[in-house]
Amino acid sequence: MEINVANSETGPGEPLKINHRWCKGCGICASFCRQEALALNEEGRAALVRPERCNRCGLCEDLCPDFALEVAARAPDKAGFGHNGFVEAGALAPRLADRQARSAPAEPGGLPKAQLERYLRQAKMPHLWCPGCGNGLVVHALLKAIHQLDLDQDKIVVVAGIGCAGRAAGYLDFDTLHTTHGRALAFATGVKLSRPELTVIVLMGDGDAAAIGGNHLIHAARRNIDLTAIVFNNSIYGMTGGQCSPLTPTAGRGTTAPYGNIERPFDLPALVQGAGGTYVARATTYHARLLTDLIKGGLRHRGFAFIEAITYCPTAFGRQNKAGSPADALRWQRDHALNVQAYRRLAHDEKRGRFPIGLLYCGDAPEYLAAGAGPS
Amino acid sequence: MTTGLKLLQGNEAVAEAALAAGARFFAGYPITPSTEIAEIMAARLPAVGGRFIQMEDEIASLAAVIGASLAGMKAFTATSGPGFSLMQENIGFAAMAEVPCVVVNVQRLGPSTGIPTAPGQGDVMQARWGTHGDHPAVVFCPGSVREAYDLTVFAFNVAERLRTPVILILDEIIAHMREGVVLPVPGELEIVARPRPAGAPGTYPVYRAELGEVPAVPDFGTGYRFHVTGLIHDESGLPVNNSETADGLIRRLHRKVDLVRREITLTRAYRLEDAQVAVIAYGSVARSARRAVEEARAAGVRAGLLQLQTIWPFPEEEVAALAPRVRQIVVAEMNLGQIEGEVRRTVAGRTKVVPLTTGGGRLFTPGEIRRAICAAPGGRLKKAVHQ
Repeated sequence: MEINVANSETGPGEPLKINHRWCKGCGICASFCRQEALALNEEGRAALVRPERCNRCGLCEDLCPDFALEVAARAPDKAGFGHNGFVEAGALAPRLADRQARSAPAEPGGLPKAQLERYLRQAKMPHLWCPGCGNGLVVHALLKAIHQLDLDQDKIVVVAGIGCAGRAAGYLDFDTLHTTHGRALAFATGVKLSRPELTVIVLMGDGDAAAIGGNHLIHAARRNIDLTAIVFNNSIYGMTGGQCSPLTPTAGRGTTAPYGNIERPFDLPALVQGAGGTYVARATTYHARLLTDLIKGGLRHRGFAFIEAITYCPTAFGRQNKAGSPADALRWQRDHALNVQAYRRLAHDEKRGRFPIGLLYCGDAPEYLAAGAGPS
Repeated sequence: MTTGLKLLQGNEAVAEAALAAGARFFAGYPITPSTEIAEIMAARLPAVGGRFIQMEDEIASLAAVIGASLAGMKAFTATSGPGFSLMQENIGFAAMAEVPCVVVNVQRLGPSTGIPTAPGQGDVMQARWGTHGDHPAVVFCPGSVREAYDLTVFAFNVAERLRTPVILILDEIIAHMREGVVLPVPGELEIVARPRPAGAPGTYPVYRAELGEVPAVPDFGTGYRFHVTGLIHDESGLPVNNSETADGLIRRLHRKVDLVRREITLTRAYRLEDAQVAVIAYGSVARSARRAVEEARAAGVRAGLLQLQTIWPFPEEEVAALAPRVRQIVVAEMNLGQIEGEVRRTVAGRTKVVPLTTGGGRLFTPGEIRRAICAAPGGRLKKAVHQ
């Protein structure tokens, strides 16, 4: 299915194309449009109600989890960077790029839809995720990272686990492997060892990676094998209907914690760093550009790269925890995440309720495949 | 041509055969009594351009094997009872996603940790039904070191040809016993490679089953950009949810094995031509049984042996053919009668079936089997030998 004018309510020359077949009407775009150019129409789909007000900043496109919006002739210097999270992201990005590869271009703006379509299995779209689910934002960031690094599409293998996040693989037009629950990193290890020239990306949910797959996670980190692992952390088991995961906050609600979760959640980046991973990062789906930059850094990193993407499950987590609309959740991410440098300057008490985002750790231990496996 | 006489244990023969069959990837986890296979692969694979990795557990081991196989390498793992239990999840994945691989299970006494150093044959039903759902199973069981070599090569060939996991079950005796063996020259072995696509990348349906109901799934990284999943999927490999596709896929997975059933069902008949009492045995028990048949014959009882080298698919034709010819079948196995039940089902009351079982983790002596033979209706004429 092509995204074209016929599929959109807007005509040629208008600032925004909307794919109504993919739009699920989560309302994030309308809620975040500072120009109030967007609203939901009577069918509950995104509509450009005041096209003359659109300044083509691109924020709606960046925050659309459904790949349904494309800002035409996007204004690169207005790309929604005037508020908290993006300031931090923008400030950190050059440093990241500098650290990872000085020659890498810092490409502003989004991923043009024509390019995005190259990476999606069109026949499988729209995706199965609920309206407002952040998984699409993580995937969007991944595709932007792949696009900006100009990686060979035929030499990428995406390995995914089981759960909502695991379903991402089915939409991606690479070699994709949808494995058993928790085992994605172990499958990926075999792929990488067998064909080291391939770029192997592993997509997991929080229960997938940290509960049933926890053993594989720490051992992949310990080996420092050249994989890029992204955990979609929505703090809940979404596909099975909202049970507690190892990332559910203490006192948070799950169907298996009807009186509040009595367990403590993992600090996944600390776990992975402690286990030996050499690239450890975290971003939220609100900090879409930071997330893209961190994934790019992970893809360039030679060793085990781990990126925790804080995302939101409006259906299974949001309802039980009264966490509000998808747009509310993005605001929560904006207001609670803090650039790691700023976070580390905070006093202990000031850190309460905040969490650091950015590149949290980068080490230079030898990569697994670089070690000679035979007799010396 | 042969390579001359060698003194090898069964585990060593498996490792040598895997290399000869083209295996270039091994992932495993240490467990008695299979560990020698991992140790040998760790030492030998780098020299032939292969990769060895010791994984964090047996679940991960088979996962890595499947990943490596999808990227184009012939891959296998080796384990024993408890590890075999952990592998069941991904055996089902390999069956569903049609990923060629070989799983070696050196059986020890179970259940649970049992006696790690004692032989057992209690995993024959697990090898058939251990993973959930209706899935095909191909399981071979060697009765000597040379058979361990031959059946390992055969296991790789069948796995590649059918794009399915193949399980090789040894028992601890076969795995650790050393025998003088003459091995074939590797260059003269028949080595089978998996079907690979003739069609160009693009819209090629990678899971369309062509000849023999086996799809020619490409290797990762060759431009086809396809999807592999343990979900029910259509010819494109992408998941679908409808009953018709599910039923079609599950039946095809079985049909591809059924189509070659005769070729992959291996048995060895010993002195069955005129036998009145037949022993059915497999693995190390077949060795005792062979001696028991000789002893029974020396005492005047017309006994014979049907050794099962293929456990699954069950050799129904060969077993059924015995039924009208013998007065009794003795099924000797180091479990409490797992294959006996299959034999009873197959002969369907046309002859008497007697179990000889043990849960004790030890091999039957020839005398024990001989006594079971001579206690049979066809053997009762010779009370003298029934000591």
